[in-house]
Amino acid sequence: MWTTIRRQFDKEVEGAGLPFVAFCIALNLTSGQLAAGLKIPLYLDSIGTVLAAVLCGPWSAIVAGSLSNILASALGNPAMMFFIPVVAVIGAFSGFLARKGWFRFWYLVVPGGILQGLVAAVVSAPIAAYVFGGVMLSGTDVLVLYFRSVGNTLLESVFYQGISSDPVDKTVTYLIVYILCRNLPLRLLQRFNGGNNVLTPAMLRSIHGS
Amino acid sequence: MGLSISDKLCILVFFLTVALAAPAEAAIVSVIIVLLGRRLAPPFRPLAQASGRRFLPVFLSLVLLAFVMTIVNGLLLQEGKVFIVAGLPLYEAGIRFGVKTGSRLLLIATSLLVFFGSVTIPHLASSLHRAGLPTQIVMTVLLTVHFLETIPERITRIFSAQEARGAPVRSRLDRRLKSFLSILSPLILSGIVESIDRGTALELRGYHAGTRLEFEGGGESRLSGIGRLFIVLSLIVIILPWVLP
Repeated sequence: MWTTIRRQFDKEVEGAGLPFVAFCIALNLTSGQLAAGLKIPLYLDSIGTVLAAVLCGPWSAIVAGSLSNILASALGNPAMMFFIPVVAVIGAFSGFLARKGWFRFWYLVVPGGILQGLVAAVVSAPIAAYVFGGVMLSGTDVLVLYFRSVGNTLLESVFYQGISSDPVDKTVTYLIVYILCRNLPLRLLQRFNGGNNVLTPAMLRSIHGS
Repeated sequence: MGLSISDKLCILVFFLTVALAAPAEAAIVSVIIVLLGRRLAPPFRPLAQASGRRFLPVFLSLVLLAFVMTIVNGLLLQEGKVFIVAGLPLYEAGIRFGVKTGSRLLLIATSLLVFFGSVTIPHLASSLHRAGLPTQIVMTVLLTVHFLETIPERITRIFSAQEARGAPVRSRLDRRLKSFLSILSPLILSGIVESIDRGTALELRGYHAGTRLEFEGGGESRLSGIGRLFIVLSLIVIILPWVLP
């Protein structure tokens, strides 16, 4: 199994793939800061992971997400280390959706983002509850406190906070990645293993001339 | 006392285990040990001045987080005895939960900060490579360090250019999202172009799909020995007529 995974990953990062995964990691680490700088009330810190999932593949996205969190820990945000399972799931799920062609049409991207948000909320809730007691010193703590004050358990409160904020964040992330990929020149898209993930059947027919 | 990165990793794993499995008192004592270790043991001192300077604000913010966690849980988990502190009714069960979770978080964060402050990312990557981590992962980490150095500068440049063109970077939310996209698009385009260049450069240097083609160090074969003999004989045949009268 390990050999199959490695072979698949090798295929995904051939040529420009490996430096691009590195770029996606750096993008993950800086896009959140950029969003905060523009006072956008969303995390937007998984754009690189989703971009790697679409243009390279699910294994590259898992690596991009996991290394992003490890490096974020190294760069002064140690809490990120515990959310590696969450970003790994985000990478795998968005890679799966990309393979299935969900990034070809905007009307599939929106439900994909909502589903991704729900999945992320389910995976992150136990970590946020049991490791951090639901308090992360961020704006969403207010929601956790509200849900606890109305009688929910800690896990339930963190989960409700997750499903009230994550789907919006992930849908916006998915839409941003979709817009970015659709506007990339074809010659650049074709340099990546997953370049076909964003091309509609009509575009593919026009390329192959049939 | 010289400690390798793998020794430090083992010590980190030990403190993470203490944080997750031991009671709050053990976690608090461990935090003190980690802080003393950072101060007194040379292998755990920060390597860069920047990481040394960053430690105190991050540590203090974590202490604040643990404190807020204790107060909030003391207010919300209404079980056990009540303590009135500054007019606030704090419950015993909540305070216990807050102290337990806060001390655990403090230990995890402090030990991670001390570990990452005392190793450089390239050294960590090469150490993990020696321990069996695939070459692709190590190269990805090293390339990320390069991109991390260049991306903030690129963002600042694009941001200033967009602002100079009159892009509404400090306006309504929808416009700010639009300007986020207008900053991200050229950034990603330049990232892709650089990735293609770097990918080509790596392949030209012999890297392909994460492995490096070996150009040296291949085992000696009988044929190569015979080949060498023939080269020496050929040189002798060429040089001999010049030397002999």
